[in-house]
Amino acid sequence: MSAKRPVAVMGDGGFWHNGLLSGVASNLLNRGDGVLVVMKNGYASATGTQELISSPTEEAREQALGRSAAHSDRTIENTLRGLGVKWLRTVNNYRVREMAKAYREAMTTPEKGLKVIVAEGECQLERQRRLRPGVAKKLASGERVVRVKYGVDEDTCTGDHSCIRLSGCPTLTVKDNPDPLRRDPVASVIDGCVGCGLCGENAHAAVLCPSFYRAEVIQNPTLWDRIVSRIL
Amino acid sequence: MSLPQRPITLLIAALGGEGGGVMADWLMEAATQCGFPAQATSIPGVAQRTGATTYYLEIYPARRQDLGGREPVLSLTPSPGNVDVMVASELIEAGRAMQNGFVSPERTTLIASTHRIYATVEKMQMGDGRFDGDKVAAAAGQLAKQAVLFDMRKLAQESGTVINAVLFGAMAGSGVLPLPRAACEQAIRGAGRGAEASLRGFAAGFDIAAGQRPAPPPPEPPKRATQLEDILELGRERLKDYQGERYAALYEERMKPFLAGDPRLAAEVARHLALWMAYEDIIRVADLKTRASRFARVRKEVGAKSGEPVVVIDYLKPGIEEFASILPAALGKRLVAWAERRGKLDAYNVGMHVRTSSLPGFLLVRSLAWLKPWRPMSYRYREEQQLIEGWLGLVADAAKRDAALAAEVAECARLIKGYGETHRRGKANFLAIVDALIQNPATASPREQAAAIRQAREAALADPEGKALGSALGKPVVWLKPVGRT
Repeated sequence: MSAKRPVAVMGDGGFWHNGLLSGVASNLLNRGDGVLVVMKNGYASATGTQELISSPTEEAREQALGRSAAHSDRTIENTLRGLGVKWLRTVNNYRVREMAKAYREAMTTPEKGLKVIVAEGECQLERQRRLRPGVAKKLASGERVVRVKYGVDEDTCTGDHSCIRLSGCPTLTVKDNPDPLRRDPVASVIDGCVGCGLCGENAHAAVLCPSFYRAEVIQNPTLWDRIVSRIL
Repeated sequence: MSLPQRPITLLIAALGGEGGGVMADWLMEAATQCGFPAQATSIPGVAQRTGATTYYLEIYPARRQDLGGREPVLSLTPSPGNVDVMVASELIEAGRAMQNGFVSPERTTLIASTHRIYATVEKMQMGDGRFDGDKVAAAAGQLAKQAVLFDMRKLAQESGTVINAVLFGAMAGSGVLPLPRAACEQAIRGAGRGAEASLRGFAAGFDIAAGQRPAPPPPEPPKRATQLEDILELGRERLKDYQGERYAALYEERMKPFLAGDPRLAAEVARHLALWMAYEDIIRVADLKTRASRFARVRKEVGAKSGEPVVVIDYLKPGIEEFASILPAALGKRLVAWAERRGKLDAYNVGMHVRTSSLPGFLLVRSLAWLKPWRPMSYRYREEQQLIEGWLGLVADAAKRDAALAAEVAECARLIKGYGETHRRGKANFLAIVDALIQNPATASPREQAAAIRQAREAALADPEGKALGSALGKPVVWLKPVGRT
């Protein structure tokens, strides 16, 4: 047995393709003491979002609309339990603090045997695809729509980029510092942001800096929205 | 009849989500329409989200009916020296193609967009890790037979389409494709969805590559204050805004000894001093976050139209350090010392999602900004002023020996930035360099000392764990590790 617990990461697509048998079953048979993280975003393949046995059902997706529908299916968890995994946690992937806690627990618990963390959060692109036509329809019919985008305050960002060292998000990038006295570029969230909020959660969980903000743009505002927004 | 010796080879380097695959389809469709034998293949990268994707096509520019039943042999792999058209959807992708030898002066037309999408290794550096794009443009001028370079992303945005349409237009417009414009446009039309916008983008790219329309001007370089007078003016203004007239006067007072010396050194000292004196404590952050100009900027950044209310939620997480920073100096010092001893500096942070755009949220944050008059009595103020005075003294001492050495010492102020742990790490690095290389140098030569300081500073910015700095100083740099944080 190794002195430190090994950690393995696989996607849910990989889990069903061969991770379950050659990974999990083998580890159980050989009485491993490692930690397995299954990234459960609900679909297989990078661009195709092909369905899996554990993909959320059509109804669940319709119901979830702009939120994650990944939690509606528990086939992976049930399968793991049935196979004999004793230590199993399902954590929302976007709650960085809770996820860090789960990792720490998995790495330090005296319990022997395979420990599995199911990191749950629906594929953001799939969520966008589902959301887009609905939003377009609502906007056209004059209904109230809230659009979420994250951002970085350029005058409190000091250009250290620790937020980027914790997040590989392609829309979290850098731009020239607008302050004529500073030289290092500042962090910036560009237009492709899907509003998942991971950057802000990271900054929060790691106590990085106060520069992240979440902006909710209220399109087709109601009279009430307008009154509230006038107060300031 | 004489047939072409070889096929036209096209290599396309795109990023995921830019429609490189669609562009390959357009090319195939246009070639097929012209009756040319053609073949395409692709290497998908991490598609959708900016992973590098590669497409390779060969088009034999003779009509199949003229071949008398013979079939050309087409390859599935590009090889260096055998590429006719190299297409890159981004500047560094063009650089990579050149580095890999796919652009040769005898044969290759390079068509690339000059905009940048930064790679993670460029973005994550603690300083400025961005590659110098001018080098790529210069290399393109030397290595390509013909280089067509302009900002295609801008044109795509203006045309309301994706960059692939503009790239396709630029290929057709540069005259290197054996395919007439009409066939290309027909291929786009045949693909259906979004065809009108794609055709607009295609036309824009075509016209610029064919020299019928000027390329969009490159973006303005960022405004930088480099002249001493400008920096002093900006610094004064900033510090007046930060803590009032007296604080601004203190800035001028501190600058006085440097004004008679080397003007370049004075400018750098003035710049770092202004930034350092306007350190980002909780009062400053609260002040900046509750300004009308800030809400206006957020509205602009998120693209809110007039009449659309915007709710702004700030992610704040003050802890012991932030609390101590506004306590009276003696009390704050004791609190921080206690927390450091027990490794509890990050243990009691309160995570808050403050709705700064609502009245209660605004008042909560603004009330912190109202503590401004109290600031000079605070713990953090005293700490920062001591550090600043110490640094100024070191720069002044070094200036008596050598201006270049003094400049290196001054530049070390750059290490201190950020918040919380990042700030602590920067400060520890700064102090380590001061101790090892400025106050106790191993050499008597100012030049060697300056070089050592520069090297250590760059090492400090090289990795957040301080490994590089540790080896540059010849001893480990210890900064407070996050012990027992939950």
